[in-house]
This record gives sequence, C-alpha cells and structure tokens, in this order.
Amino acid sequence: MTTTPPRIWMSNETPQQGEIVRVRTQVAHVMESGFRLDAAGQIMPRQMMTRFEARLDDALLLTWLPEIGIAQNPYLEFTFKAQASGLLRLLWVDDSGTEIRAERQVTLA
Amino acid sequence: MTSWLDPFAGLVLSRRGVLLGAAASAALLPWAAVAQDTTAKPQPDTAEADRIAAEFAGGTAPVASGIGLDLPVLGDNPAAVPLRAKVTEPLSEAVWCEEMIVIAELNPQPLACRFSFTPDIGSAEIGIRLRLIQTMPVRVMARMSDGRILMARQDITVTAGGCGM
Amino acid sequence: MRAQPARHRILVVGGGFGGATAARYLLKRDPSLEVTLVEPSQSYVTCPFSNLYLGGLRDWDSLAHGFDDLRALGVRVVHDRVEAIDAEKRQAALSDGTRINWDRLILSPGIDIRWGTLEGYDEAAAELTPHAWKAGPQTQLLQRQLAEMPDGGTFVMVIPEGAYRCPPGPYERAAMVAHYFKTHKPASKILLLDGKDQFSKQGLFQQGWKALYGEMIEWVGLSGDGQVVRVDARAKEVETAFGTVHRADVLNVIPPQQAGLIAAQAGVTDASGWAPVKGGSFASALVEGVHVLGDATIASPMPKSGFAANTQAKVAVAVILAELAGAPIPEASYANTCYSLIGPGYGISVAGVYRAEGDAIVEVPDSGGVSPLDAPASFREAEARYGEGWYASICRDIWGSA
Repeated sequence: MTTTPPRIWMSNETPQQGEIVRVRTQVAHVMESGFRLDAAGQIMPRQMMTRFEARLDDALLLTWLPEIGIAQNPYLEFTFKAQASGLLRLLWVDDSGTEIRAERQVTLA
Repeated sequence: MTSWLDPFAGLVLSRRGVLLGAAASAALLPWAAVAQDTTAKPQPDTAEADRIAAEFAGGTAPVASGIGLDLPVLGDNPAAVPLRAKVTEPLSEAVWCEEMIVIAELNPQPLACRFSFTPDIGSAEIGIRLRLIQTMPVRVMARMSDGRILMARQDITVTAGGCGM
Repeated sequence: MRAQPARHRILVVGGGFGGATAARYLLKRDPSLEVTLVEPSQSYVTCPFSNLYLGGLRDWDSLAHGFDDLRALGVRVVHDRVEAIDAEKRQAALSDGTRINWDRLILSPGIDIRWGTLEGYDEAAAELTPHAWKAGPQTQLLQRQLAEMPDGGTFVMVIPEGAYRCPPGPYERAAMVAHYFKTHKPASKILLLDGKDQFSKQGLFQQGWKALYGEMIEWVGLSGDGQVVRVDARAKEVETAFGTVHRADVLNVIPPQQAGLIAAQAGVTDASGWAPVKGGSFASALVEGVHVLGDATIASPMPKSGFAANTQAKVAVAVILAELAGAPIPEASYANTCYSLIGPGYGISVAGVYRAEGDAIVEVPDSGGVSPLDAPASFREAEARYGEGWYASICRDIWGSA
C-alpha cells in the first residue's frame, strides 16, 4: 500500500442517537491479482489488500475480505447505526502484513 | 474478448515495442503493442459460483428476497462496476445479518468478497466496486442470525466503450 | 396497363450522422423508394468539431448543415418532432398531428439526458451550467460563459461514469478550452472531475496537454476523488463522493445519458436505457421492422460516434434494400476513426474495424490502432489535417455540404 492516507467521508460526524451514518472509504492499493503478465511475459506477483475492519472504539462493527474481483484502489461504503459516541477506527491489512489505520470521532448530538 | 479491455489485464498505453521510423512510414500503433497480457480466464459456467453459494448456504434453501441489489444493467467500465447491496428488513439485537458474500459468477475467481457484521453495527448495507471479466450474473447472499439465507441476483452486460475505452 | 407496384416507404427519424446518411444512401441506391426524414432542426449542428468552436478554431456556421441537398435528391424532409411510434400499425405521429405510415423505420435519435440522475442536474440546471453534449444553443451558451469568464478563473468539467456519447470528447474539449485560455486568458485553470480511472487515448492526451498547455489542465480520476455526486448549478459548485466541494467560474457538467426518448417510446430500448441491435444489420433486437442507428444503440465494441453512425447507416441500408428485393443479405463491415484535436496542428486518433459474429459485433483482430506516443511534430500535424479532411468528407457524404 502507498503512503497516501486513505480517503474517508462520513455523512454526519454528530449524529442523533439511532441515526444511520453512511461512511465512504477508499485506500490506494494496486490489488495485483497474480494473473497478469509483465512485458517480459512473467507473472506479476500477487499483492492484495485482504482485510478491512471497522470498529467503534473496541467494538467490531464490520470485517471485509476482498478478493481479486474487487477493483483497484478498493472503495468501500457502509452504514452503521449511531448508538454511542466513540472513535470510528478503520484498519486495512494487505497480504504483506502492512497495516494502514484511520480514525474519525463520532459524537452523538 | 480482447485483452485491452479486460480489467484483469489492465489498460495501459505502453511504449513497449514502439519504435517508428520517419513520419512517412509511421502508422497507427497496433493494439497488441499496447495491451498487457493476463492468464485470467472466465469461468465456463456457473458451477463454481453455485458451489460457493451452496457452501455459504450450508444446506438452508436461500430465499430470493430481502436484499436490495443496485447494479447497473450495462457496465461500460468493467474495471470498476459499482454495486450496492442492503438487507431491507429492519435489524435488531435479536435478528441481524451475520455475513454477506458477493459472487461475480463468471469471474476467474467468482467470490468477489465477504462481509461479516456484528449486532453492534445496526445495519447491513454496503457499496463496493467490482472488476468483471465479461457479461455475467452477479449474486449477493446474506445469512441472518436466525439462520435464514437471503439472496438477490442480477445480470450485467459488460461492454467496451469503444475508442480505446 | 399494369398497375405500378407500391413504392416502399421508409421513415427515418433523426437527421444527424445516422439518419441523414441512411436517407441519402437509400435514395442513392434505389430512387424508387419513398423516403421521409423527420428532423426537428432546420439545420443539423454537429457535435464533432463543436469543441473546436469552443477553442476559437472553427466558426459556428461551419458546424451547421442544412437539408436542401437531401431534398434535391428526393428525400421528403419534415421539420417536426415524432411524438409516438406504433410499431404494430407501422405508423408514426408527429407533433403537428400528421401521421406517417412506413414499411421500414430507421430510428437515429441520438441521446437524451437522464435529468436528475446526477443530484441537482435537471433541465433548469442545464440553462445555468450547460452540458453542451447536444450541439446547438447549449454549445453557444458554454462559449459565451467562457468568453465572459475573467482571466485567472477555473473551468470545471464533470465527466460521468456510465456510457456517454463520444468517449474522447471531454478530453478534446479540455484541450480546446485550454487553447482558448492560453491565447486569451493564460492565468486560467481547467479541472476535470472524472468518474473513471482511465479514458480514451489517455497517454496521448496527457502528453499533448502537457506539451501544449503545461500544467493548465488537472485531471482527477475516480480513485483520486473525481466522482461528483451533487451539483449546485446556481452556486456553480460540485461535491464529490468524499465531500470535496469544488467551485467553478464556468461549470460544464456532462451528465448521465440514455437513448433519445423516442427510442424508448417505440419499444426498442431495454432496461439499460439503450437500444440493443443485431450486429449484422442494426435491426432492433426487440421490435420487427425497425432499425436503430448511432449513439442510441448498444453497439459495443463500436463507440458512440458520428463516424460509427454513418458506417452503421450504410450497412442498415444495404440490408434493408436486400430484404425488400429478396436478394442475399450482404455481410456487414464497419469502421470507426475518432480524431481528437489537442491544439492547432496537433491531432491524435484511434481507429477500429468491426464485423458481425452472429448478432454480436466484434473487432477484427490486428485491425485499427491508435496514434503512437513517440511521434514527430509532422505526424501530429498530419493527423490534425486528416481530422479536418475527415470532417469535410463526411459532411459532404451525409448532407452534401462541407
């Protein structure tokens, strides 16, 4: 993964109790499938982002396991119900073990 | 399907093999010199997709409702096809969505991705971008905490935009 | 005395690249036909080369083509709009109440905008921030806005994901506006917000933009947060999927599109909003007795282009005439070349040759190609001239006037 920070958008960082919050995320990643051949006819090695987790503080909300059918620079949109204030913590892991983290504060109105 | 529009090959204007003489003899660059190659092959049929679906359903008969699936009918950018899927019934701590999978049925590896949700999330709605190797059905399946399996399926026709797209 | 056999009646809807070609070629090949062409405009303004008008390299009148030459050939040209098609009765109703009966119908209605699909972009918005994706008053509106923009302003163009006519069109427009800015307002900037990560002739465009305009044009792709989800036409602001708001001095939104609405009314479109056709003839895959041409069709891998509509019309005409005569159906062959002008004397192109395989259209292997990245100035100059030559030839071929 590159050093470009992931893009994150939230529909409302100060939601009402029970409001559905929409989150959009995108991380820069080549998502190399391991099927492609380079100019010399050699297989370009597989290099994939394999796991994404979203937590509110320590509570796991969602895990995403993308495969090669996911487009390059993986985009993920999801929703969650705002039930408590806390830190929305996002984690991307690729198959080399590299981790990328990002956070957004959610404050109930 | 020519490899230049195959998202598993990529679309790259490459300088590989481009050495032209004088302008008089110059000609348009043939497609072969600009495409990258791939060993990715589409599935010949939906057998593998059906196997993945059966494994997910674990013996429970899927119900063809309960998932709102939003996918274009015509995908003219196969490298990034937007898909939205949402469990449409109200969720609670008693009944929630545990897991959801997206199957691009004729892709080289049909399982496009897997989601696990916890009861804390309070919803089961996702949006992703797929890369599709050709026209195919796309199936989304969800397992609810009470054991029900929900399913939605839609065909998408994948086209090239033409003019090098 | 023997009774005269009834003349076959062909109705053509749309006087653009597809329809006008069909009308001409029908009568050229068989002067006994009764050919009616219905086109709302007194003259047809071409989208091809309209970007050059925006760039100050073409005058407006050179883009407009009248129908007198087609009338001289014997085409009955009616300036009206088709309101309804009854494919069972083989009858069309015009907005003035006239009804036209046909033996064969050729629909070449171009595109219509999907109003409201892009949040905030409805018909009223297009009068404030034009799309100029149907040549005519919209193009002139955009040109006026560019002329009124102060030096140092920003021109923002929104490019949709999803099918739209003329894949390289937005990128040629960026180049032509850049030429206009470089000449008259050199402190100005151009921002392209794209719903895709790749575009037609991308390497060539980016090389040409840089060579001629330096850093004036900034392209933001899908992965770079280029997808626009909301337009505020009054404020000339757009918002991306990740919440970035861009304010423009001149805003050009190229919105989501569909086949011209008469196609849906006639029953030839499917759930995609475009018309599926049979690759060997461009006969509608859904309705008997109807052919559909040009941008309105699903003709992939052929692009939505004027060149393509012209070549498709010729095949459709050949097939219709063979069917009417009970003669063997000829084999379809299609070609397309998209010329794009990046600056004066700097042209690029991409070409393809196609044929039918069953009802599908396929590209002929090892045919066509694209301009090379490594090319001397003389090559780019030649392609600019070829583009001009193509435009003059095709307009003469279709409307009888360069």
